Amino acid sequence: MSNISLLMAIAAVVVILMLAGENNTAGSDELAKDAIQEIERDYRPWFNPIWSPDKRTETLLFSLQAAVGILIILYFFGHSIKGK
Amino acid sequence: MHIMEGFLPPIWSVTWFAVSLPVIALGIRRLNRMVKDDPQTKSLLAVCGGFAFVLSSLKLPSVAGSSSHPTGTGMSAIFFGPSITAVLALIVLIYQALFLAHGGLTTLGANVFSMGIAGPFVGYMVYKGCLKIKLGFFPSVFLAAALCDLSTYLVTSMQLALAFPAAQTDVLGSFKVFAGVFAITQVPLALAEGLVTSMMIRYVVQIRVDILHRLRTIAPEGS
Repeated sequence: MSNISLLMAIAAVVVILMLAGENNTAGSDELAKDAIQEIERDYRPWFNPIWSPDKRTETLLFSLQAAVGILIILYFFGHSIKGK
Repeated sequence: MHIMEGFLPPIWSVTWFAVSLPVIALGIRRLNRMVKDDPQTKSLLAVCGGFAFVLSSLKLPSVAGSSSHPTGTGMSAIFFGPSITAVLALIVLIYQALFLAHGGLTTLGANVFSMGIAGPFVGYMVYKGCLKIKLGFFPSVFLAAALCDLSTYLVTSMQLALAFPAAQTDVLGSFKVFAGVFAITQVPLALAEGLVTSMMIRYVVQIRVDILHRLRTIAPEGS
């Protein structure tokens, strides 16, 4: 597979995966929390998140995380190709 | 998935920190030394970090109406091994704990252990093992990345089972419950992660195979 087509295939997979993420199914950490509550009914978390985003901000911050990752990857791939 | 904030009793929270911190310290030392000895590895390290950032940010639907995240640590595990991967995982986990309320600060030690140390350790060993039996580079990468992902979640299940043994069935019973929650959801994601990791590594091989030779990830042609 040529470089460009491989890169495009990877990009396509990531975009598809990101779009697939726009859903409301239960995250497995929620399911784990339910499982914990079932095993130990009286357990209460002894520490709460310092800050919790609302749904829109959460989506934005996850996208930001992905975007930063992609930018880092692109920057260094570009760097590598130039450095050859 | 990461264990949610406050959902590990203090004794376990501390225990997992105690286990993980030495590995992180080792990882930081090895990372510094590696970058000093061979500055070219910085690019690959950054790409692995970026890869982990991207993949662990994706919330993907899986089977039975649940969803989860891939780990993104497979690539770093194969190139750099578990201790350095632990450092990358720590960065991702801190970001997610602080800004996304995903995972937690009290559970950071445990989550670094599962996602940054144990999973990558399995991935690394599987990769080396597969190469030894001459499975072929890309099947080895695929298996290593997929099993890295899966074992991360199995370790998380074990961590939860140890902290929350069931009344009648104790740790093993709890483990089955948690593994049932995580592992079933994770299998399709692990396979997807194996695939994407193979593709990424194939790309790296095409453009900078020399770094991989230097890291001794793969042997130069002819050996």
